[in-house]
This record gives sequence, C-alpha cells and structure tokens, in this order.
Amino acid sequence: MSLNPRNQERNDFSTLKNKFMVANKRYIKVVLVLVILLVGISFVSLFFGSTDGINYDIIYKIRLPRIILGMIVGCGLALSGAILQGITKNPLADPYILGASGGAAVGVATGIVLKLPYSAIYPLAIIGSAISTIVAYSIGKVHGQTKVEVLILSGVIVNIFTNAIVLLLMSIFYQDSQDIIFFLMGSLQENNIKLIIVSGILVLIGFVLSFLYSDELNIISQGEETAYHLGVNVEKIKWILFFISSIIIGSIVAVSGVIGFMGLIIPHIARVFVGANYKRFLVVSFLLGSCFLVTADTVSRTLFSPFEVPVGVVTALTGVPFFIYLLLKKNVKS
Amino acid sequence: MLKVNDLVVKYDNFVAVNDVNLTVSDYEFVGIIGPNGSGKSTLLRAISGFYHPQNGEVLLDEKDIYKMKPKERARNISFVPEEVDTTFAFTVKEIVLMGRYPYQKQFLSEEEEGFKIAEESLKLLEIEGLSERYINELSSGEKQRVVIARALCQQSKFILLDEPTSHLDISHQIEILDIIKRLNIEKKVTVIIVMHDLNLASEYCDRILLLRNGAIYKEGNPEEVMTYQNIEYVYKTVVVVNKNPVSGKPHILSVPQWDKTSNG
Repeated sequence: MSLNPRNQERNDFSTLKNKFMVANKRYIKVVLVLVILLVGISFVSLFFGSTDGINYDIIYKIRLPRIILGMIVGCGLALSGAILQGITKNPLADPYILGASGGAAVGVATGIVLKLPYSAIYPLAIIGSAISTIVAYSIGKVHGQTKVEVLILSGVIVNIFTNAIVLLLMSIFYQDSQDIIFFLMGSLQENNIKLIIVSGILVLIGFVLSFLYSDELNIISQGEETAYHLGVNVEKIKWILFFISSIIIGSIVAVSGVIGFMGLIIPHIARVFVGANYKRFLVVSFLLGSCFLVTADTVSRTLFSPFEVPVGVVTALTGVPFFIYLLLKKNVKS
Repeated sequence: MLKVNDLVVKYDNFVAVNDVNLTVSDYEFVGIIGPNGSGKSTLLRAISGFYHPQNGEVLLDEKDIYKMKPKERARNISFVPEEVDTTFAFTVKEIVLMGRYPYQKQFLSEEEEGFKIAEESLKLLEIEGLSERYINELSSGEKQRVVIARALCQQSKFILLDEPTSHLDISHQIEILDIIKRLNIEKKVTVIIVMHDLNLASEYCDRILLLRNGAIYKEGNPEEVMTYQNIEYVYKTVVVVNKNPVSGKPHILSVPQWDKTSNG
C-alpha cells in the first residue's frame, strides 16, 4: 500500500475492461450450458414415460404443453424469488414463504366459486398476490428495516390466513371444493393451451420489466438506506417491483396452483454460478428455474408411474431441507 | 454551501434533533460529536434527506434538499454508513460502480466514462487490486475503503460519514481518516462526519459540533469545543484536557472514578 505515483493508468484501465470481459465469458458459458441442458431435459421428458411405444397424441397434446408450462412456471417462480430477495434484502425470501402464492390462491379460489371466466381469474390472482405480499412485507418491516426472521414469521402468518380463507371458501361452496383442491395442488396438468400462452406472455413481460430494473435491484439489495443515498427512488421502485412479482406469481398460480420453494432454491444456485449482479443473475435464474421444474415434473410423473405425484410435493421435498440448511448456515455465521 | 435552518426531528414524542441551525461552507471538515443518543446520526440523516424533519429545512446552495429529485440529490450529497452490507456477494467493482447510478439514464447502464471514474476511485483508495474480489471476503478496513470509493464515484460536493471507523482498530482508523482528510484537501470535498472518538475528532476536524439532547451545545474549532468544562458537562464524566505534543490539538484523557466512589 504505497503512495507512489503510478504511470500505467492506461494499462490498469484496460485490465479492468478485460476483467469485465472475463466475467462476461463465464456468464455466457453458464447461459449456453443451461440452454443446452434445458433442450436436453425437454427431449428426455418428451419421450420418457409410460406409453406403449410412441404415441404422438400423448407426446404433442399432453407432454409438450406440460413441458412448456413447466418452463414458464419454473422461470416465473425463480424470477419472483430473485426479485423478492432483492427488495427485502433477505436471501430466504420466496413467493411461497412470503405468502404471495397463498394470496394468489385465494384469488383463484374466489374466481372458481364465483364461476368467473378465466379472464377474470388472472386479475384476481394477481391482486391476491399483491395484497398478501404487501401485508407480509409491512408486518415484517420494523423501524424501516426488514429483519430476516420477522419477515419469514409474517409470511407464515399471512400463509395461515390465506389457507384459512381458501378452506372457508371450500366449506361454504363445498360443491366446488374438488375443483379448488385440484387447482391448488401444485401440478402442471393443464390442457388449455390458451391459458399456457397467457401465463407465458405475462411471465415474459415480468422478466423484461425486472431486467430493465436490474440496476435498481442491485442497489436496493444493498439496503434501503444505501439505495436512498445512491439516488434510487426507493419507495417507487419497490412498489413497481412488488407489482411485477405479483403479476408473475398471480399468472403462475392461475395455471399451476401453489408450488413452493422454487423461488428460494434457484436464485441461490444462480448466485453461486454468476454472482449477485442482477444483470446476469436474473437471466441465469430464469433458465435454471425452467430446467429445474421440467426435471422435477418428469420425476413426479414417472417415479411412481402410473400414479402421479404433484410436482409441488417434489419441490417441497427438495426445498425444505435446503431452506433448513440456509437457516442453519445463517445462524452459525451470526 | 449547506444551510440547516430550525431543524426538528421527532420519533413519536421523542425529540431526536431539537432546533438545529448550522452553516457548512464549501471545503470544510466538520465533525459531529456527542454522547450516545444525543442525535448525531439522526441529524446526519436529516441533512442527507433520509429522515424527513417535522420542522425546518436543509438548503444546498439555496436549493431545498427535500424537494430535489433522488438522482440530483445523490449527485450533490453522498453518504458513507458505519458498515457495508454483505448479504449478497457483489464484487468490489460492482459495488463501486453503483456510485455512478445518479448519472445513469433510466434503464441504461454505465458508459465508458463511469468505468473510468470508478477505476480512479479504486486507485485513490488503493484498492484497485481488489476490484474482482467479493465484498464479503474483505477485511473491515478494506470494506470501508470500498464504500468510500463508491461515495467518491458520486462526485458529490458533500460527503457525509456516520462513524466510518467505529469498527476498525487504531491503525485502520488513522488510515481511513487520512484518506478522508486527503479527499477533503486535494479533491475539495466538503466533509461532515459523525465521530465517536473525541481525540480523533480533535485531530482531524476544522470545526466541531458538540451535541447534547439533540441540540448543538457548543460549536467551534477543536480548541474552543474540547475544554474539560464542555466535555464533562455533556458526557457527565471527569476528564483532563491536554495537548497533543505533535499536532498541538487538544487531547482528552479520561479519569476513572471507581476508587473515589468506593471510598464514599
């Protein structure tokens, strides 16, 4: 640490630029590998399962839409987890844990019992998700700071409440309870191509919007006070991002029900690959989420074939141990 | 020039900052001292605009800071917290580049110019070798340099620091404060700094504000503020004020009272 004047300024600058390129190369590599992986998994999933020989009807009418839906739901959940973790500065945030999925489920259940068309169920799911996220966040925020543990606790409370509302609806409108259960079980069985397309478009919009706000996400994940002092309009950006996350979650829950812990696991793995910078991290989360959910769904479909396990069970079975591991690691550190 | 007029900040019924008036000229190095709970940090955050006061105004070159756009405000005032957040593993370069956000156009990322300025800030703080390291791998002293480099990237006229050295040992405290002093003199940055250590405040500050119960009890150069009467009255502890034989600045020595109290 000398104070000697240095005269290789130009050199240093080009090394900085080079280093920037190296980081990009690694990132491009990760993205390429994930794309290849996604295509590979999709092909395996397409031709893997209990059919006698190759039945094209099953492949194109059932499995293909299911794989596409798996990609949409997987990347949507991962994205929403990545966004929520950034805003709350909390690596344990997840749309399921924070109650966003539960809120969307209330919206869907309400739509079902009111016999509303699908076009009305989407907005209800999005509104439900937005309300529950904001409630959980507001409870979890103490003196302008979100404490990790308090936020998780408030998410649990919101989840209990939304579950109670869904149960209430099911017991009052018992003739619809079968529909509601089927809807909320967390499954990718959805044969209505139109719904898949609508959700796909909404998730893609969510991705583009959150990518546009990646600089702000980076800075807000450093804490609200720091973000304020760096010139971010914290309140405004936060609400925009909550809204984006709610659009994603609402449109996912409307087609696939509640699938937990994806939003927790995927961002963590993505960060290990490319670091915390949202410019890279969002894209990698997006791809990784797709890979993971298509794989999980193939497992859920074939493991106990001909019986099918809901994919939400598979993600929870892998996600909960992961969550416990993160929680323990965090407590050991502090 | 920064002008603070009749500033009052309350939390519920507790008055944290009580009618503070203050003028800071360009290129000054102003220290804020006072016992715990005397409102130092709150005053600093009210000046930065983060806390909205119940009364009063903060004028930066005659412009109301609470009415500025966020990016414009960040181009004029930067803030160095006590500690940098390490929840997520960003690299040093990424964190320092965040200081360029106030100059970015909406939805557009950093231009060549910004990288150059980031590079210069890293160099000024002698951490260019760390630029690709992750922030959570660094020592406390290095982390603090990173945050100062980020503040420097904001190219603001004013830099506010909230006890930037409280987690450091004596040699790193001096290193960081030397850097801040050098920025003050060479880069013409106006410094407002909250300090815990009275002797360091006395060594580095041109002017010191001594706070008591949220109000300015005494204000002036170190010789005027650091008298045993002032310190004993505000901190409620017995001290002796000497002179640093090298710098000639006031030096405060604590006088423990345990033997006197035990004898009655």
